[in-house]
Amino acid sequence: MDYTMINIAIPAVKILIVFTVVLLSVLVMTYAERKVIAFMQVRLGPMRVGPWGLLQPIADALKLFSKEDIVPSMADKLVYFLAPTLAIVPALLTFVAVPFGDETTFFGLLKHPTNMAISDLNIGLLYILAISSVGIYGILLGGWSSNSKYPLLGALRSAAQIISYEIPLTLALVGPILLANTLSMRGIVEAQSKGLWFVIPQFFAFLVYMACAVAETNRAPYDLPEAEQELVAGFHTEYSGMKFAFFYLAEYANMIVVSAIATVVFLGGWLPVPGLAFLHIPAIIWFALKLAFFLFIFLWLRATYPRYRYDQLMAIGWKFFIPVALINIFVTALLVL
Amino acid sequence: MFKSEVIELNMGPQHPSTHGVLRLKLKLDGESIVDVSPEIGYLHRGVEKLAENFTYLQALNLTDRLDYVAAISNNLGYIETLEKLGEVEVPRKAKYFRTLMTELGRLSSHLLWLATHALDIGAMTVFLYAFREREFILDMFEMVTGGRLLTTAFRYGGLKDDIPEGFERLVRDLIQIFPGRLADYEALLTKNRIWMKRTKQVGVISAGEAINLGLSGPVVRGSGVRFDIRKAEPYEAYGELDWEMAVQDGCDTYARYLVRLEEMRQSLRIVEQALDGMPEGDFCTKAPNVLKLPKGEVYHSIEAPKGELGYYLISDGKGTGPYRLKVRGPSFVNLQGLKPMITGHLVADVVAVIGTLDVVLGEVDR
Amino acid sequence: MTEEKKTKTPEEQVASLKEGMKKTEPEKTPAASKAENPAEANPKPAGPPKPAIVEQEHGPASEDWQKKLLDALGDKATESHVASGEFTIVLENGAAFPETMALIHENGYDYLSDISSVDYSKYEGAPKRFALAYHLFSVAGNHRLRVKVFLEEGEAVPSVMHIWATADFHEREAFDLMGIVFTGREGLRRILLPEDWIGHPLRKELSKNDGNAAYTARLVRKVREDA
Repeated sequence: MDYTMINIAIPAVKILIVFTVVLLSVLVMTYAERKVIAFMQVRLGPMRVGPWGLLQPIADALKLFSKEDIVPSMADKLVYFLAPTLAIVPALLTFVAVPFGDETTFFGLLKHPTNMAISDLNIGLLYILAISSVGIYGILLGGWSSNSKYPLLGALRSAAQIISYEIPLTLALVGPILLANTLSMRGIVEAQSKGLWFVIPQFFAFLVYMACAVAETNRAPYDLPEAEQELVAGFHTEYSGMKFAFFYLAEYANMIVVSAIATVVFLGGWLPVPGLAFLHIPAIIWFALKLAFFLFIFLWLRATYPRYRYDQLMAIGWKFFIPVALINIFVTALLVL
Repeated sequence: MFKSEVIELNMGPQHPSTHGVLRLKLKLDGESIVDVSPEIGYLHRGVEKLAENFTYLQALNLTDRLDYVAAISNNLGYIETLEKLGEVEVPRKAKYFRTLMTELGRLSSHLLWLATHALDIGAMTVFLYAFREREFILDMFEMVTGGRLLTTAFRYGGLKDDIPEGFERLVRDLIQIFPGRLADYEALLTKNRIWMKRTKQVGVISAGEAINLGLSGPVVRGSGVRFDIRKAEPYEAYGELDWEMAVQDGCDTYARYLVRLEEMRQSLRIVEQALDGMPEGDFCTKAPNVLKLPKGEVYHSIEAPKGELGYYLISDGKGTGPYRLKVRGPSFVNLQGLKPMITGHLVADVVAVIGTLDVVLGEVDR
Repeated sequence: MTEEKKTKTPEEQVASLKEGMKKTEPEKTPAASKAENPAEANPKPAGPPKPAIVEQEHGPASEDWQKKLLDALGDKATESHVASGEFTIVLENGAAFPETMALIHENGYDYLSDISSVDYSKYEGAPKRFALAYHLFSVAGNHRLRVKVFLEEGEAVPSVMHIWATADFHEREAFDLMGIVFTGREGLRRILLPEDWIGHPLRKELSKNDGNAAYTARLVRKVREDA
């Protein structure tokens, strides 16, 4: 009974909760994106569907469900069908290792406290990075299987961009790992509870990480692969209906994942802001607030900056971010030793 | 073992950013452009042929639809051509007011250019800010002519009506707020590293090549050529007002961006001076109801926001309309600058260069 | 990349021309000067009799530069006149046409504004059916020139694309809409109308749609065949 509880029932419940919350927050993100950017652009955004447009995401979801499923006649049918799946599944799988809060007993329902993560892997960070890399296949195969020039160009660009920016992203994360001495996500947060949040000693790593996170998720100013003005819609030009919805969800889910990693690794996860602990805000609310902050930065960047041209994008990734991240590792290692 | 091929990519005619129905046949080697061939004519409506069947006044309507973004300039050029052939003297008040309206048209055209150019390069917010300003100007057009975009302004010999009440207040409001707004756009773009990287050394054309290709307007002034018809062959009240020509030496997209921003500032200056110095008097010289012009031919060009807008008018002395009206659309000629500007660059620069040429298909295709 | 806007070779010629021109204020560059054309005696070359187009002579016209140009051209200009403040010279079509145009280019007319095709078939007093009007401008000297060439039906004109690159699109348009053929250039094809359009719409004859009434039907059939 205990075994079943610990290893099957509780994780199952957690999975349900986490995936529901993630999918719901993706929906909220679509609404927030339109509203926040609208306000920055001196306009109101969605206003018609529900009060203040709050039901807009539901309208969007219903629209995507009901669209005709168009498949280009010369497309590779099997790959065309699988590509969106390959995009969304890894994005959702990464949430397995993300800790949303401290140990909890769910208000006394459980005998032993349990993590607010589906599973506290002791290689949590490595797992997340590895699984999210699989998402590239979705983009690449989606663009290729559409059998059309624009998606192909978009997919190639996107794949090259994501692969290139994974390197500085990972290198930027090595600094905090050295300081925390563990790959477990929970362990990293605990390491920060003893001292400063890693954003301060690892400031440059933080900046590099943020820039690479934006590039990883194909967001502005690194959103050339999906730039409307140039490639119509990049790799998902030929997709419509639910398959397009999957790509769309995958993008937002990726945004939430990288923001969650940033929160955990640099901003102390569920730890309260030093000095405000007396407010007795639950740990998970702290986590959500910090996550929202990062997501807001994503939107802010999109509203403000033009986009980088593709070759400039690659040049910055390889020639600037990687050296900075490497130097950060060396300096951290020297100081740790 | 490996063979590299040149891909042919078709951009347009339906495309989110070709500013109209422009089709570009690109030959790409990877991402670099080896050759570009613009295909136009998707918006050809036969304006020149139609004008032969209309009266002079009816043909004024046709000119609206050439550069539909700044219809006022087209109107002005056409009316001035008629007046040049008919040798009629326009009252000073009309000249000042025409100058004012045309400069408002230039402002509105450049605002749209800025909005779409920035949007193409990815800065979405500037698009909305610029359109907010443009709304003010369109309100002014509507007050005077009844139309926001297609104005059919001015008549042979002057204006259609006297200046309406309330117009001056609107213009004064604009003069007040506009410099601040322009400073906003500059803050967002001019020193923005990404903007500079996307526009510097992109779309470079030398002065000699530009002149030989017949480019005009901000395109050629961004290459250091001091050629502005308002200064070279002054018309309306431009000779009497105090303003500077905007010229840059950079020869690239960034230089043209700076030229157009400076032109906006100078336009505002002209508007203010024209408003302050508006003379009293008639607003129109008497002209017959059905206009007949003497036999002859005349070519008249003005500095439209896009470049040199020229009208070649032949009248046979008997008809009530033009015998032959040829429109020299600046965008038609500027489009020839696309090929030297874009060859060797990347696909992502195509939209930047089309934006900097400020192509409007209405006057390309007529 | 900063180049002076003055053209290279005829700079000295232009400078001497400018001395004869009236300037209202000293400017940094001559192109920015507000030049006016005061009325003077019209220069007339010795040569073949004037064509039959009667132009009214108004307003300010000739300058030393007009005389200079006509001297340089000698008898290649069959006629010249000034009307409505504009200076027009008429050239003969023929093999020597591109050379004459090159000569004009060397004389400082580095900017070709426009090439207009005209169908004079309904116009009284036209020497031939068609005409091409080349509108030239000298950036350094700030003066305009119109060169007219009269053509019969079916007569072809040598292209000036090698002198002014801008002539490309203009010549294609004249070919497309008026049916004037330009020799000595490549890529002469329709520009505004579809490739397989029949006829030249800007001509004055009443066209019974030139066989294009069925254009859409042809297009649909072609698309179905290709698919």
